[in-house]
Amino acid sequence: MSSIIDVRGLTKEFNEITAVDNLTFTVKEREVYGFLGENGAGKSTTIRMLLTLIRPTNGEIKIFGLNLSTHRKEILQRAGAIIEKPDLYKYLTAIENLNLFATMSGLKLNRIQLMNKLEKVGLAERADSKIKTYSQGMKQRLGIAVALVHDPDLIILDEPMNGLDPQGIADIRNLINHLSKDLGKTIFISSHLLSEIEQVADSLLIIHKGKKIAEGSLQELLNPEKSRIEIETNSAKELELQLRQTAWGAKIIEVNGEKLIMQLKKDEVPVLIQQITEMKIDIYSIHKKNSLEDYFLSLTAN
Amino acid sequence: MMALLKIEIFKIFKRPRTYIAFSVIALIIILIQIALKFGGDEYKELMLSGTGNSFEEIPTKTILNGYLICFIILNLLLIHVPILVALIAGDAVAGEANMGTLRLLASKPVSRIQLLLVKFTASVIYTLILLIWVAVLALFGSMALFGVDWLSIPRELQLNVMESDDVLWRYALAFCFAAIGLICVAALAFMLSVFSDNSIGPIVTTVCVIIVFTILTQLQIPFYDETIKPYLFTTHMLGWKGFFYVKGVDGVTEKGSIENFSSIIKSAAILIGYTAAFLGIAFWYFKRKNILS
Repeated sequence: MSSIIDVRGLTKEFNEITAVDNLTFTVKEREVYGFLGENGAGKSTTIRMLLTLIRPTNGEIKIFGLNLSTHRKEILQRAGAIIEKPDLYKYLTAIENLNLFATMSGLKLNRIQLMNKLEKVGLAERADSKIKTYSQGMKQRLGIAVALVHDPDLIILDEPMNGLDPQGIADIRNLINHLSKDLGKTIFISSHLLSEIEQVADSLLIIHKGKKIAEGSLQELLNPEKSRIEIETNSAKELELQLRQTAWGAKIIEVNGEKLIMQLKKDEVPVLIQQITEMKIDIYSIHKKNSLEDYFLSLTAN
Repeated sequence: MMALLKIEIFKIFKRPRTYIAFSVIALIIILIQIALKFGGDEYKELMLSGTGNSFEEIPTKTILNGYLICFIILNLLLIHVPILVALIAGDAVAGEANMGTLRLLASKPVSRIQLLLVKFTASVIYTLILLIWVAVLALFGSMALFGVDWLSIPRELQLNVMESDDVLWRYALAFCFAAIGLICVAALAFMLSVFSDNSIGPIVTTVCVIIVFTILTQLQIPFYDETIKPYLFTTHMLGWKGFFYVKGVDGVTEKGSIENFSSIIKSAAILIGYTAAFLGIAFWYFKRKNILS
């Protein structure tokens, strides 16, 4: 698969603050690429640089193999985006908003074509209602219709699930799967809803304070061979003390209340349980913590 | 480009606030016309007293005809119309930033220069439509209500008198000149709009600049005549009056004449220069602007 987004050494400085620091990553064709980071990590700044809203201080961005700084128009003709919340013209109707942005993308659509686009996001019945009467979820769906109105090959979604109810989140998840799996679109998505990203993304990029701290496929990052195990006992501190005197000590990640968290291989788990039992420490529960959220927290905790 | 321009004009005229300007203009003009219809005699006395002469032999209805009413209205609207222009031009970019739509527009396959160009052109079109509205109500409305006759304009200690068939072309040129002045105001508000993410700032700043500059323009202090006034665009916005200052010999005015045409051209050129400078700054800054809103 060819690369759709190719970013090399991307840096953005605002006065003395480095918002994005020497970021390098590649998004492949037809991939759903999750972009994670805490608030203020530099996600939105990066996305805005991909959309030419912010000028990079340093670095190079290539999209569809073309340099963004010299082929802006050709690239943006093939890209659609939702940037944070989808703010549209509140005093216009949904169909007027859609028509306006279709025209800006160089399209001339008639009412039937516009209605078809609204139908796909379930807004055809409210096509002639002004946006100020829309709920947050409806605005978000219209934002998606606007982003997709010109049938782009690359879709950039910045926090698309913000403010949505569970049904709305599920709808967006299904839409992303449909766009990616059925229509072969490349999707670059940032979100703080890690469990949602985990369900849709093929690859991940995690940034922290503007720097890349992890990149790879979900399988690579969430290595099933090495799981985080959470052990709840009657005395986690006593257990930690005793384990620190053995080779197990190197595998301790942290103690959180009465829970001890360790990084273990699958076959090490029964051996450890046996040893804890011999230490006369009661085990109340054992959990395998291997979610993206745990991984993300472990990376950004320090 | 035309499709983008249509979008901008569509957006302007879909907003209810756009029509406030048209309503305010209509209200002011109608109120002035009513006042002069019923209190014309007192106004005539007041107007002529400044000339130091008595013109009692001239009937009120002859002096207070549609042409003079339009001249009075244009004088009074000098401050108001630029404010209404600033309402739209000051909102053009900052309003989009405030609504959060600027990032959507700027991420479309349209260059920033093109985007700004259509936005400014739309502001100019709005300004011209507003001016046409003023012309329709103030000139043609007054002509219909008060009739037409010779135009007598008090100037220092004398009256500038123009025959009725020597007036309409002057108004046509005066409105063209007013358009140049108002476009200059639109360019100022537009430039400030590019620097801001909230439309209140550019609108209020433009209005403040117009008020302060107008006060300075009208201050009768000799020191300012040479030092400040020639550089204020508000001084040159008054250039439209020049079309009504005629040449005369021994109290007889020369038909079809303009006393100081070169001064009018100079004022127009200065206003165009200011407009170009405001737009130049706006385009230079917007091309480099980080859109964070």
